[in-house]
Amino acid sequence: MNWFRRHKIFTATAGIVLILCLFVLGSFLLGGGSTILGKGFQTVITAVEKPFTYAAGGIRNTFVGIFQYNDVLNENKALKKENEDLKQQNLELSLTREELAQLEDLSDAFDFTPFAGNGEAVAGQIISLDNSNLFQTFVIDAGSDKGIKVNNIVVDGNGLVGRIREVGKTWSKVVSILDENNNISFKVLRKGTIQGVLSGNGAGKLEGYLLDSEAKIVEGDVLVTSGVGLYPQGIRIGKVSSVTFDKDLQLKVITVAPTVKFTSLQKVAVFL
Amino acid sequence: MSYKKAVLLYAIALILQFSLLNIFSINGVTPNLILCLMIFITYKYNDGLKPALIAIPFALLSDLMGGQYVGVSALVLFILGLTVNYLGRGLNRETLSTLLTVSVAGTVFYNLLYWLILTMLGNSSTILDLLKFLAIALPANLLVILIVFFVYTRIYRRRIRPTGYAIVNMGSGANKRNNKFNLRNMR
Repeated sequence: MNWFRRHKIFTATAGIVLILCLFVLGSFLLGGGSTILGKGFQTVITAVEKPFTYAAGGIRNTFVGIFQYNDVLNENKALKKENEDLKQQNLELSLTREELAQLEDLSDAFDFTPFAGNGEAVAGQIISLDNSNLFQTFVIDAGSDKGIKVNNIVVDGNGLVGRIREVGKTWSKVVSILDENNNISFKVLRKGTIQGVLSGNGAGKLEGYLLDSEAKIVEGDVLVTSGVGLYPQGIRIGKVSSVTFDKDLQLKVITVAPTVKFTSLQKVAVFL
Repeated sequence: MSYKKAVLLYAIALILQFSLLNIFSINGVTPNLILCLMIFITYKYNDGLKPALIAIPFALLSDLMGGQYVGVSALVLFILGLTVNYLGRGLNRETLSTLLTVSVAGTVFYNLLYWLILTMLGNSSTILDLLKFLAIALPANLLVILIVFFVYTRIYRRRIRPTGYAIVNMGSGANKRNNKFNLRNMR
């Protein structure tokens, strides 16, 4: 005890380091989640941070509008063309509506639910991002007050964003598909029988393997969720950017660029 | 620097970090304001471990807001504060070049330690990813520290009285009162 009294600064410093190590260890054992105290803090921080985030979002949009005027014009042209194409497709699809109605009747007969949850969606604004800057987790301004629960699916206009990991009253923590521990079962949009599993590679992309190593998959193939596991079927995940054969695993390994632009993500939708 | 000022600066840094700074992100990477502020205060003011200690709750809050695990940045920031404080003793604290050197070393040290801890906890990002991240984060942090340095210098110069004596950075409490008293007597 005398030694500790003589070395007060060293003892205090070591004590602080030890307490912080325990914090990290506790958080790791909780799987990155927070305790009740942490959730309380998070609710207060969210309330403080929200107006600043909205203000920053407004400024960002103004800047983008000024500096990317030509890009916006080009995007507008492309969207108009896409709109025309979609109208044409819509016309063609309406012909098969009757067929769809028959299939829905059939699914009711088999008591089959095509989509997880009750089909409703809630919008959420991102209020803080992962401070390691790799966008593996972020916080949105919608929580249990809007009916969000753990493991609800998060998407945006471009595709799958992730799932809800933790819920507070006015906030939710989202773990994105870029997280290494977030496994997603996929299928190739072009050919639904080609299936596999993906997860984040810790560098802003997704990596995974095909269940059938003989299956033919090429760069540029679009991947969607297969419906196996947590994620419902048919949500766009990303495009294959490289295909290699791992001799050790005897599996075809793929790298996928997500369709969601995580670096400019501002708003998301949560399926309840 | 007084506790009040330091707490206020860290609070502003925390709010800006998660709101306004996202506008200026390059490829999703933004400067770490709390880290920049901690390095600057630790280095510029000879306050011992005070800046690192005050930074802990703010780093914990930033972990809560967006970190993968709570406590990692607080732990790394505290260790960095200890190191900067210890190594800074032998350096000239007035020149910009030494401040920039300490900032570069501090940013690399912080991110390396952060990456090491996350790797130990199962994160699979490689050292190459860390280097890619540092290629943007390092100049961004240096820019922030340069801005803080020039703002600090302007404020400091304004406070220098015609006598040539500065009335800032004189410690706190009794020392501060005595110094003010001495300055009045000199005039």
